[in-house]
Amino acid sequence: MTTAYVAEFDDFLESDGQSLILISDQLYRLSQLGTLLVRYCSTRACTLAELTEHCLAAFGQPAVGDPRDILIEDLNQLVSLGIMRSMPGISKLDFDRHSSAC
Amino acid sequence: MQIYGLGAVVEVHDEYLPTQFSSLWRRCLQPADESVARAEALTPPPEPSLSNLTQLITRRLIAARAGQVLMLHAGALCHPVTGATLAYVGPGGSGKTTLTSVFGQRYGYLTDETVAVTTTGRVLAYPKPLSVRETGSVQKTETSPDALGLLPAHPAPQLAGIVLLARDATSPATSEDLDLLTAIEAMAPETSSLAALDRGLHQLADLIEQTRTVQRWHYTDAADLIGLASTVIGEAP
Repeated sequence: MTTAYVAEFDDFLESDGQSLILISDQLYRLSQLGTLLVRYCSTRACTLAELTEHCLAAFGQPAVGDPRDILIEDLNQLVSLGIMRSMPGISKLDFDRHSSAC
Repeated sequence: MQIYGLGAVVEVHDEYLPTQFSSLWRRCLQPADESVARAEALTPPPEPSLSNLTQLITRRLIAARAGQVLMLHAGALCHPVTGATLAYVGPGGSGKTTLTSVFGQRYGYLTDETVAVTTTGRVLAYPKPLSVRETGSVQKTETSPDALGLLPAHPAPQLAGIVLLARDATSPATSEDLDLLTAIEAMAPETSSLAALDRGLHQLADLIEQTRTVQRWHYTDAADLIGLASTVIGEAP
């Protein structure tokens, strides 16, 4: 089952739904979705299904697009920046397989 | 010779120091603060330039305070009576030294390059020589604050406002209020060892929230900023 968790960071500051995260002198500004993902995954690894549930509860259905695709795109971006890690890699195929297994 | 600044002291071995060194650094020969961290001693290379010495000393003092206090790449002036302090943050070339030279004859001189601030907002002075560009020259000369007629600082300067300098040909000068995350995002590249501080982002956020002002100032000529400066730290006496 694919899970995502936050990499070790120096500090994380939230304000008005958005946030800044400091990792080894590199500062990143996170969107509302990115902030939510980091918040949920900072204390424990979350499954993609759990994260989708959290995001839908927080933001509702997106006006355009599949919420899973949006989530996976954001997660992959956070992983590529070194802010989050996933085991194994995140892909829509993994997501569909694990979701249907839930 | 001992040089004090940023709440630290560095022992500079004086074998190779130029003769004018002590007069240029006169304001840093005594501690301005009670608690002083000790930096690694500095042995200058033979025949060092004055600007090179300034860089070496500054680096030692910053290294001594890393992880202890918030440090910003900024100039700072204070009201000579109240101690209310304005820190102006910006990269090289943003006008920190010019602003310091122009307003330092009316407000107390704290530094033109590196500001250290404690969690209570106390500003730790570093009244080093200023690197001043002579008219019509590309060369910069280390100049003592005394030669420029800069006023001495208040003994207990307290941060009243932080501004980001943007010398972007805006005339007349304007101020732009910044939200918390935008301000921190803009300031972070101009900090030293932010990640070494315990909850560095939170310390910076707390300081910003303690001060009454966090703005970006757009300007062309430093002299145009005097009105904005007085709104933050009060009219000069």
